Amino acid sequence: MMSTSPIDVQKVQERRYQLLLELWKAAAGKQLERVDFLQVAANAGFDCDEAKQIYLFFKDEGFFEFRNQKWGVSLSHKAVVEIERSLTNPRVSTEHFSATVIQNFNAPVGAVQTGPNSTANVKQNFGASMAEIAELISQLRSQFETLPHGPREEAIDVVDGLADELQQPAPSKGKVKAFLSQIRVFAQDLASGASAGLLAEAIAKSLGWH
Amino acid sequence: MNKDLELVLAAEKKRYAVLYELWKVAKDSTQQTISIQELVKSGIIQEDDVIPVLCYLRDEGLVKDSDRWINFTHKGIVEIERSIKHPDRETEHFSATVIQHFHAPVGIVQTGPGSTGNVVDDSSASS
Repeated sequence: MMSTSPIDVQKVQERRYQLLLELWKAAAGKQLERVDFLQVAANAGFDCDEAKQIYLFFKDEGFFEFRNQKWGVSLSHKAVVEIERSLTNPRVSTEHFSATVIQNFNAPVGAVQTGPNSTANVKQNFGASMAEIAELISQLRSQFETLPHGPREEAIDVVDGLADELQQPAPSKGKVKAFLSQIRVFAQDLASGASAGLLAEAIAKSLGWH
Repeated sequence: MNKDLELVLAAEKKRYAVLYELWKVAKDSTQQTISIQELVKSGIIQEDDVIPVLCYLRDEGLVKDSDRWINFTHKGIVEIERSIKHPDRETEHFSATVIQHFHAPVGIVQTGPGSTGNVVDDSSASS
């Protein structure tokens, strides 16, 4: 007897998620916007049989608000919510898609561990965002220059420590978080503390560690 | 920022703009209505966005709509009041980034690796 492994299920889910995401993009994220299901599937590299299987699944799950006999469909509220949730919180599973599946498409991190014996070597690549992060750090340093003597040197030391850690090939998440929380404490001493605090938040978000 | 996420945030912003405009008129009333046509005329929402935005808000139970008018549900009032009271926190339907676009006292909220911004903090009023 043939059996279905969890890996097979995951692959099926990935294909469904990929096609739902493509439909959502084709509809510009809008509920009730009509798109040609088979055309979108073909453009995304799905063969006709697979696309039809997925169509039936989506229909049964209530992902279509509208369907006609020529494969015209519009996404339902449920489908739009599902995709939006997956994009805004890729680390959290939705009703139909596991976090592992979602992060395959939207993850800011290098690997997702899924089983007891799996291993992975992760190197976080900040890529283009490093320039922006460097700019944010520079803005933080400028704001801390206005602190009185004493706290000023300590705060700038922390900002420099953060900058140094981020230069490492594999920055320590724990150290970066510790630096950021120290920065938030120093930010409270600033007249413009809110914006320094937000800069720290922005750095955390840019790193995907918020 | 990831383009898909940008699309989500743009949609959230349109939805929040409508809710906020409704709140300005209705405050905490679930009976006070606002004309959809007026929202379009005043540029709060584009004609093309009316259906997806209102369908979303209605299907999430934040507003009720009848013909060309909308009004708050209790859930809608609670959500908008929370967002105004705590603009730094996300609500069930809106991210802090979107809320702060409307209410932030500071210049910038960074949300992704591709985003850039310059912060000018004007604290002259308090000095």
